[in-house]
Amino acid sequence: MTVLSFPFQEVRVARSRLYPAGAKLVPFILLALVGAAAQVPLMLVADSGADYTIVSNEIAPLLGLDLKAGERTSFCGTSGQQQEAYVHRLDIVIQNADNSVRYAADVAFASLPRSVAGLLGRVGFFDRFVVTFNQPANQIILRSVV
Amino acid sequence: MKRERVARLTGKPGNWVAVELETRKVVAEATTLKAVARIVARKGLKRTSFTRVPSPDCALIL
Repeated sequence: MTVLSFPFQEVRVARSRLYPAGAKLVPFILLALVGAAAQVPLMLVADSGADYTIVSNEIAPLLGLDLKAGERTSFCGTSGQQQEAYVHRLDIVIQNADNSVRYAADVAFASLPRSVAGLLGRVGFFDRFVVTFNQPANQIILRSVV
Repeated sequence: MKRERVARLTGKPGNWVAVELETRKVVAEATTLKAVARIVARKGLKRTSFTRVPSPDCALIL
């Protein structure tokens, strides 16, 4: 079993009751999507509330993908609006300074809100790792089950 | 993981950024990923990763 550990990423926000330090911690995971044309390094948010792994369709051309050649599906965002997405089979490489894991996964591409590059969801991420969020210790631990 | 490896991700919410993995600093920022990728290629930066600056008040759950 491969074990990878990451810190949370601090994102600066306005000071408020929720964020008295003026920063919030976001569980970004460092990975690369591997396409025919290139390998695109990304920091995506691990989100167990997302049904599957979904990324911005802006990433597709960098990978050399024909976006609409993927399998068409749809999803509901927080807005409640139905949106279309296209699913492609890609390799995902997750690595830190010590270890790396590479596996094939179905990744959906869609037009996402401007605040989101992509989400690592239950299909394509949480089904491949035992994920521990230890926010008090500022640590995310991934234990590979692939 | 040591605290100093944690970056403070700054930039305008919604923008695409390239983060240098060694320093964990934002080295390029633009409104499109294509533009950020172009800046990274022009600067010859190798160890970077792309992401978007999350909006402070936006839930990420889909």
